[in-house]
This record gives sequence, structure tokens and C-alpha cells, in this order.
Amino acid sequence: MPRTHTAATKPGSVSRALARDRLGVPAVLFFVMAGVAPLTVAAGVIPTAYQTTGLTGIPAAFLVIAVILAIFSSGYVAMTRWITNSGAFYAFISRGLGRVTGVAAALLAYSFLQVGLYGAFGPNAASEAATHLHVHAQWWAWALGAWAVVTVLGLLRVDITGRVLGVLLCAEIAVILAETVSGLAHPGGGHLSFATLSPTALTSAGFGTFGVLAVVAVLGFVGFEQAPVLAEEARNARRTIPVATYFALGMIAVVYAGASWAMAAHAGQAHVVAAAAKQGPGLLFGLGGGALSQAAQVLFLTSLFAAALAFHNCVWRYAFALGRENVLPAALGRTGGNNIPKAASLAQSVTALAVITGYALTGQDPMTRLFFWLVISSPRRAVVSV
Amino acid sequence: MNTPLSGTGRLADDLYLVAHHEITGKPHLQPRALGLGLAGGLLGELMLPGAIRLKGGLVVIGDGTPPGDALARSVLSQIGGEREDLAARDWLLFLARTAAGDIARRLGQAGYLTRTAGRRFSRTPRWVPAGPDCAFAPLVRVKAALSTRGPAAAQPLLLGGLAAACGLGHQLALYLPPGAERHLEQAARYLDPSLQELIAQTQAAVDSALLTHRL
Repeated sequence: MPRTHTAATKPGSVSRALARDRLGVPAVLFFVMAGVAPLTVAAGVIPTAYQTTGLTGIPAAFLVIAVILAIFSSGYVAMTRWITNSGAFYAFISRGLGRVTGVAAALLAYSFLQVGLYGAFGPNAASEAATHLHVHAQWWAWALGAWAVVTVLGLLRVDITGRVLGVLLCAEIAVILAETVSGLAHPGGGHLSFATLSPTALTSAGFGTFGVLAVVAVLGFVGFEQAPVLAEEARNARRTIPVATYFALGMIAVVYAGASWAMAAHAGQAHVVAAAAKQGPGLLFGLGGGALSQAAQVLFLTSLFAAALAFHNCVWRYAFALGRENVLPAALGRTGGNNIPKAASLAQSVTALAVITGYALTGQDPMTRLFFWLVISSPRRAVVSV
Repeated sequence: MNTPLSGTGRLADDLYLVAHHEITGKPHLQPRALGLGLAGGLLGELMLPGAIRLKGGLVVIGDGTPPGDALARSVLSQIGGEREDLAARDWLLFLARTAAGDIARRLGQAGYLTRTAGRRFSRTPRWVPAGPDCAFAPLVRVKAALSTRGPAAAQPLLLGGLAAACGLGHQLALYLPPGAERHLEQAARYLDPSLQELIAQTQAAVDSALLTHRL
């Protein structure tokens, strides 16, 4: 059958059909923001950061880091054009620094991040249950409960559907914005201070201050780099991926800078560190009144759980990809029934179990030692590798 | 039962039966993986007689005699109707959208599947094998192909290769003798290179769907 090979002037029915199935900016943006888990950072990381670092320049740091990451992103998304590999971070790093570094940077970073989330879920679930349900159990019991559910869902490969994640995400952002507005409307001392947004706050305790704040701020942005994972499935990768990435950066910067500023303004710049030490995530919840505060607390727990499941799924996908390439044992690259890479899923579950048990046995504080340390150290590792 | 154990003789039909439980008809795969595997089967049905070929990763029309059944002819005319030669991956993704339903209907017409009312809240009808022996027979064919001395026939090897590529490796491991998977991999190396490429493209499509969270 003769066939002309001149370039088609308009896409045929196959291309049209495939294009309909592809992802646009909103879908990619939702995927990215779901991985960012905004309430986890706003209620989990920011107060703990105030408490642990003792520094007040966190709002300014978010804005500065957003600019720096935007500059980094221009190179990062440009690489997507040349390296379309769903391993994204691993693929880019391994091209530059070799496979072993690629594995260490990406897989360990996300793995530790995932485990660290149980360190926030545990104590917060315990205190909620004690207050409202009068059930008293240790933080690690709740953490292990969440771990068990994530393990089972991870083996059945039940993802939280995109729709549910989308709804949760919108609710989280709405709640954070509401708390922010409420906090800014009731500043401590009666007058709203912009001091924590100013660049001078970045070097308040010497030059090293910026380094510490930068690490915290970068943590808030972890997840924004996931857009290139969907490059192959995006409608127009050259446009969709960069637009979604910059949009995500902008949203994250505004939401977190706003929330951390509201916390400092509400408590008063001189008192925010002490308030954070005393209230923990309550530093965010307390910005608003009863119902808002309660809704925020419940959403915080769902946010942590959703983030734990999302990153669990992220980690086993990395392990699967690396098993397929024989960088890691090939068993991780095999799928069982329903296309589930059970070995990869179990490997992450076993890691998480070992870490939670270790922290429980050694009696360390889960929020500052498990959540903050592991979750903070992962972006540091990733930042250093890049 | 009036359906012979030898099956319809069509590659994608056999792959469909391997991919579903022989009694309940439940799929062993996620929908997208099933679609991609069956799409590979449909392309394989056209490649075996040479009606299409893979050239440089693109699907091109060949000189061979196309198969007689309506579905294969319809796929062939779609391939022929496109203005330019498209990549194998594009055809896999395109055919994957409708492959499962089309092949189920074809098997239904041949008497190997029967349609039952769907579950209470589901509108889609369920296809259930007419008899478990016929549904199980394709695996027996793969096993027989692996145990023959001398070169094995291409179709059962292609069936085994595509089954492994879309994630049915665990099914093969359950019902084939131990070591059969490795044997299958080695035997597949004697397949025509373009058939090997079809298997590789199918595997790449399924893995990619898994990694991009579409699976």
C-alpha cells in the first residue's frame, strides 16, 4: 500500500486521541502541590523551625529562597527537554554526578522524608485523641497505626485518588489562608510588624543565620521539583512543566511566607520562639477561632497521612525504576498482581518500621528529632547533591 | 462445551485469557497495563503474518496477508489511514484505550466469554470465561512451546513475552514450571528482532505508566 511520508499538516485521529488523554497545567500543578503537603509544612515545620532554630527570619527566608529556586528551576526544567525520564531528580543527578550519587541523593532523601512524617503524625494524633476521644496512647502507637495503614495501602496499590487529594489540598490552602488573615488581623502588641519579612532578619544572629533559614525554607518547597516526572504525560511538556513549576513556587512562597509572618506577628516577634516551643502546631491553629482551629487540626492529621502515603508511593516508584536499571537489586523492579512492585513497597515499609521503632525505644522526642531532623536533613542532602 | 481447547488461535485473545482469572474473569492487571498489553497483542497479530512491520521504532505497513477477523482488519485500516508512520508507543497508547473491550467482545462472539450483568453499582458488563479449562489453555500452550526441543513457534513465545511485559510474570511463575521465566527470556531471543522490539516497547510503555503515576 503506497504511503506518502511528507509531514502531516494537521494531527491525525491518533494524535488527537492521545492529546486528549494528556495532562494540562492544572493536573500537573495538583500533583505537585499534593506532594508539597502545605498544611504539613505550615503547622508542622514552621513552628518547629521557630522553636529549634530560635530565629525569626523564616518569612523572609521563604521569599528569598523562592527567588533562588525560581532561578534554579529555569535550568532544572530546561533539562526536562533533554532528559525525559520519569526518574527526574535521579535522572538529572546521575547524568551529572554518576549513578551512585543519584541513588543516594534522590532515594534516601525521599525515603527519610517519608519516615519523618510519622514523627509528626504520632504525637499530634495522640494529643487529638486524648483531648477529644479520651483515648490515651503513646505517640509511637499512633505512628505505627498510620504506618500499618500506609503499608497495607501501599501493597494493595491503592492511591488516594486524585479527586480526594485535590479536595484535601484546596481545603488545606483555604484553612492556612484563613488562619493567616486571622493572625494578621490580631497582631500581638496591637500593631502589625513587617520586621520578619525584611532581609535584615536573615542575618539577625550572624551570617550563618541565613544558612539555617535557607535549609528550613527549602524544606517547605520540597515537592515542587516533581513536575518533570509527568513530562512524558504532559500535553505540551515544554510549556506545561515550567508553568506548573513556577506556579507551584509562587503559591508555596505566598502561602508559607504569609503563614509564618502571621505566626510571628500574632505572637509578637520577641515571643514567637517561646510560643512555638510551647504550642507547636498550635501556633498556626491558634491564629483563628474555635471552628477554624478545630478544622485545621483535623486537616493537619489528614495532610500528614496523605503526605506519608504520597511519599511512600514516590519512594517505591524510585526503587522500582532503579531495580529495573539494576542499580538496586532487580527484585525491586518486579511487579506482582495488579502491577504492584511489592518488594519495593515493602522495602520502604520495613525501613519506616525500623526507624519508628528505633525512635520509640530510645525515647527521643518525635516532633523535633524524628520529624524535624529527618525531614530537614533530606532536602539538605538533595540540595548538597545538586 | 463447544469451544475447543485450542482457542481462537489469535494472540490477543490468548493474552486476554491469561490476564483474567479463569473463573471469575477478574483482571490480574491494572486497566492501563491490561490495555497496553492487549494493544501489544493486537499489533503482534498483525506483525506475525507480516501485515505490519516495525521499522526504526515506527509501525509501517508490510506486504503480508492481513488476518481475516474484523478487529484485526479494523486496526490495520486505522494504521493505514494515518498520514504518516507513527511510533509503536503511540499505537500502543491509542489501542490501549479500547483493546480490552474489543477483544472481550471478539471472545464473546467466539463463545469463550459470556457477558454477565455488572456489579450492583457498576454500569459496565462483566465478561466471564465460558469454561475454566479454555481460559487456562493459553498458559498450557506457552508451557508446551517452552518444552519442545528445537525452535519454538513464534506465537506462543510472543504471548509469553507480552504477558511478562505487561506484568503477568507472577501468573506465569505460578503455573509454569520453575525456571520457565528465564527459559522464556532466552527463547524470546530467537524471535524475529521486530517481535522482540514489540515486547520491549510494550514493557517500556507499562513501566512508564507506572512511573508517571498513570498506573
